[in-house]
Amino acid sequence: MIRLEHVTKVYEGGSVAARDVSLDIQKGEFVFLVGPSGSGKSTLIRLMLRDEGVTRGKIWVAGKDITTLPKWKIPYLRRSVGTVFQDYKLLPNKTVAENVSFALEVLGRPRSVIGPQVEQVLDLVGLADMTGRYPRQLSGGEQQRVSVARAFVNRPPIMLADEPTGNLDPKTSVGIMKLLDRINRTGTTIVMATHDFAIVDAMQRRVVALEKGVVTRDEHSGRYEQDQG
Amino acid sequence: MSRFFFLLREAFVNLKRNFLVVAGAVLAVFISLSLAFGALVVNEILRLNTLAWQEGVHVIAFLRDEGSGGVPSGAHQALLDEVSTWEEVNDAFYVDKAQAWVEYQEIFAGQDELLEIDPTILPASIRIELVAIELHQSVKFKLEQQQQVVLNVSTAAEQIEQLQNLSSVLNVLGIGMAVVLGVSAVVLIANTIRLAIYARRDEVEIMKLVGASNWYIRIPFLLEGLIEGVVGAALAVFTVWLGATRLARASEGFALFRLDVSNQFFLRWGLLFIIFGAAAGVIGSLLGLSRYLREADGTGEDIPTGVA
Repeated sequence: MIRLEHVTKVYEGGSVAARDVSLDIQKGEFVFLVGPSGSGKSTLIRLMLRDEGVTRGKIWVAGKDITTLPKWKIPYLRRSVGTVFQDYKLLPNKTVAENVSFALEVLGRPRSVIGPQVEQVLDLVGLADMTGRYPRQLSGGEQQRVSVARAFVNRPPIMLADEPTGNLDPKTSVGIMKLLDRINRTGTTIVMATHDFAIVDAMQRRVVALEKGVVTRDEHSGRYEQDQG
Repeated sequence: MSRFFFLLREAFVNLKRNFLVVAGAVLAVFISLSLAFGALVVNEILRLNTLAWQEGVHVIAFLRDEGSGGVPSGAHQALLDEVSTWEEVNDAFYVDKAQAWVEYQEIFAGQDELLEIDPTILPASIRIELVAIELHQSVKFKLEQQQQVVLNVSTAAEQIEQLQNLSSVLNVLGIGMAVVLGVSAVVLIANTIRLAIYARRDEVEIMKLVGASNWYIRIPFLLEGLIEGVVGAALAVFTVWLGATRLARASEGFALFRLDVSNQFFLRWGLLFIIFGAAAGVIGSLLGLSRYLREADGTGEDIPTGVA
């Protein structure tokens, strides 16, 4: 579903965010990108989203080489990739339902489709009774649920999450992870950057560890820290 | 269709949200185009009046009475015959003392104190229509040579010529003003759009995130610029039309100068100005959008070349 081939990303000024990274992520996999701050987790997410370009290497998403994708085709890539961020990225002047339907409106979906689809996804994330509320009226966990609902409302085959639990307390984080796990079980491939070891250890999914832009470990059913024994 | 309404709604939400900035841009377009359109209307009024005056008599030669002061009988007819042969003259006709008195009574009807004059003091005259207005000096000079018969030469040609010059100046000024103010309207709209994008940067970011195309993101801003341009231009056209028609109504009965411009003129030029306003709005929006959306692509700009 996602393949990175010898990907290198060097920012202007010379700092290396990814160095010769190669990864192969299968359809339906749940992959944690772990590592300390500045290790290159978020950069990899942005590269997969073509929010940034690679310096060298190739990235395939859903069978397409996105490193050579013309600019006008980038929106089509993003329609097949749902994204969740640490800061939720919700529109404060739109209600929960409007925030979620916004993702379908910009794609030009008819109202007859948008209504039921939004209702369904809000039910999935447990916010069916909060459709008319504004982000400021929600807790952090609830806002992140809205963000997940918006990312999933279009039923993308891939979901990229950059520190989705970074602003949440452990109990709320568990709720979000359960939600992502549920989405993953529908066949959606999930790549999640995190430094929350408790979550990674509890989920027991594939772990790709990064340090200074280099992949230091890639384990199926792995843990946050490498087992010493 | 739902996509179009969504974009239109986004444009209107944006207009509402940035009301003060939008009002500033509309006002700028309004002032710019009002001045340009006003100059055009004044120019049209001058053109109409010059035309009207040009169609009439350009030069009047007032004549000494025949049989007095050494003016022989038949001298008036002889001069008229001569004047009619001049190449500068398109038409010439004779107005005798009796006709002059009738004309005088018409002009000063109702002003009894002015009508209490001796009609015989009014001189006979030769009225001359020129081939071209600029020939008035030559004709005046020739007439003044006939001092024995000609008492005085009066001409409106100088005033007409001055009006024509003023009209040319206004033409240049109008075009210059339209260009300068048009450019400033475009720049102001571009700034408004830039501010609107800045105010909605989170929304734009999210739109890009969920896969909206650049054009899809641009359209509400283009519509916003278009609406600002059209509203500003329409207000300018309406205001100038209202001012001109009120002025024309107030000056009714003022025979020397006509201020009424045809509705057809307003319709034709008004439409052109509104189209210009729309174009200024779209161009301004595109200028405002170009830099921001190019940066927002986030592809390639930060990639240094030659990294090993």
